[in-house]
Amino acid sequence: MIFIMATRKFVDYVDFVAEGAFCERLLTLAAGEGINIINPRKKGYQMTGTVFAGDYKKLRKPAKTAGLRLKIVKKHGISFFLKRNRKKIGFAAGTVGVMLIVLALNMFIWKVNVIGNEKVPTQDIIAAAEEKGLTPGSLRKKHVAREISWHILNQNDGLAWVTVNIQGCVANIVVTEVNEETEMKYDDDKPVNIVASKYGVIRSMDVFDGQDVVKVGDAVMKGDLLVSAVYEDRYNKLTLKHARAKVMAETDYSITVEFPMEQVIPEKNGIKKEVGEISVLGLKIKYGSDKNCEGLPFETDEKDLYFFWLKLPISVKNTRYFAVKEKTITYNMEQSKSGAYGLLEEKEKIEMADMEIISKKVEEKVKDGKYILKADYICLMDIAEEQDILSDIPWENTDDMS
Amino acid sequence: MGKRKKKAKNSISEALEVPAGIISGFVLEIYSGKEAVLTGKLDVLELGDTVLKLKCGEHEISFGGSGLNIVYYTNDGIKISGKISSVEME
Repeated sequence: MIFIMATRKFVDYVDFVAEGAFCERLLTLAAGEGINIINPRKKGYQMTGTVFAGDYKKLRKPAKTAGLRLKIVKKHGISFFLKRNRKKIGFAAGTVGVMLIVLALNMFIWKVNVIGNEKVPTQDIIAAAEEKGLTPGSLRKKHVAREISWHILNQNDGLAWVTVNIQGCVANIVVTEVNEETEMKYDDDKPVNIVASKYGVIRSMDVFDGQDVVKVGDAVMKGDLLVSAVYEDRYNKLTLKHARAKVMAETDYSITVEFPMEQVIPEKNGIKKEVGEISVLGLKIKYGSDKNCEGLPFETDEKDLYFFWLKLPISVKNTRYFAVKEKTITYNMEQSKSGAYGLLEEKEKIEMADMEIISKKVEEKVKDGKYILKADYICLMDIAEEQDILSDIPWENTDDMS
Repeated sequence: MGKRKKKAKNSISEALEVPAGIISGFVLEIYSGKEAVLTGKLDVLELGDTVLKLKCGEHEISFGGSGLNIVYYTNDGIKISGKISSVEME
């Protein structure tokens, strides 16, 4: 249907009217000349029809023979359109210009997208792609997708699979990340004992390898042997093992935090400078200078330009540098206490992530302008620590046999 | 067409066992009363909305109906469309 409509717009044909007594004769004579009259209709002494533009001139002779007067009613087709608008050269030039620009822009990559990454930074993947020439503004046809994907995979250990799809003017880099497996502690290169890293009372023991020399409920001091590498097998033969165990003991732990009651904080004091950058097909044009702005806080926003719904390969980036003013803040007792407890909570989360707190006692004091908290804990923690041993007993990795 | 020539053409069509109109005259095909295709050398005698008269050799063929119009008309034949209610041959 669309093809037919397009053909009707471009092919030259004319609608005519023939006036006279013997219109039917025109049909016969035209057929004899090889002229095809399309859709002939007769009304009284008039007959209308359509012929191709080139056939109209040939129709005059049969019309004269049949004693008919021919007249053109309407002309259709691209040639007539161009003739009517030949003075409107600006319009034509503009149309041609736009078509050429669109054709030219179509030859380049407008955007590079990364899809499927969560842990591996997008910038790393794009940087690897740029090393192989895949950047906005590069020619579409010059890229070999397989080479680019291999290079990205080699540059990023966190990726398991990469493919580059160039669809139109957009390059999509689709990645799959590596699934991180739990680290298997299978270090069998040497025999080790398990000793206590600090004093405590053993509350639970999970011995994976080696011979345990203490039991649950025993009190141990720092350095005491908990699991021995020396192992006597069923043949009464002594062998050495790489001892492995998890020994949870009740012990103490402490954290101290200090919160200054008077602090100097840098505060933003208005915009010092604005620097912009326009990127067209990867070509960056900077306006404004960021001289003397090192170390200043800044904000950046980047905007892509659109033509209606169509995303253009043009983006505008604006960076605002702020002037800084030092502000002295004095906290009262309540505020200092709250700040100090906040710091303590953060430290607990980091240092005591693997411990179970049984009890906690916090001591507060103010000294030298600081609000100090000292927290003492009774907690359950893993006190197992590996210690190398030197022995005359030959080392034999018997893990496969036990 | 001379009587001798006509006789010769009829003999040929009989020998080849094909319908007579293939060799000489015309072939008329009507499709569901909506379209008609006439193959052969013919002239248009009358063209109208309700009647269409054609001359093919010695025969005059009249189509009657409504909305009749010529889809194409060439040296080899004609195609008519519309509601064809009658076909008369003389």
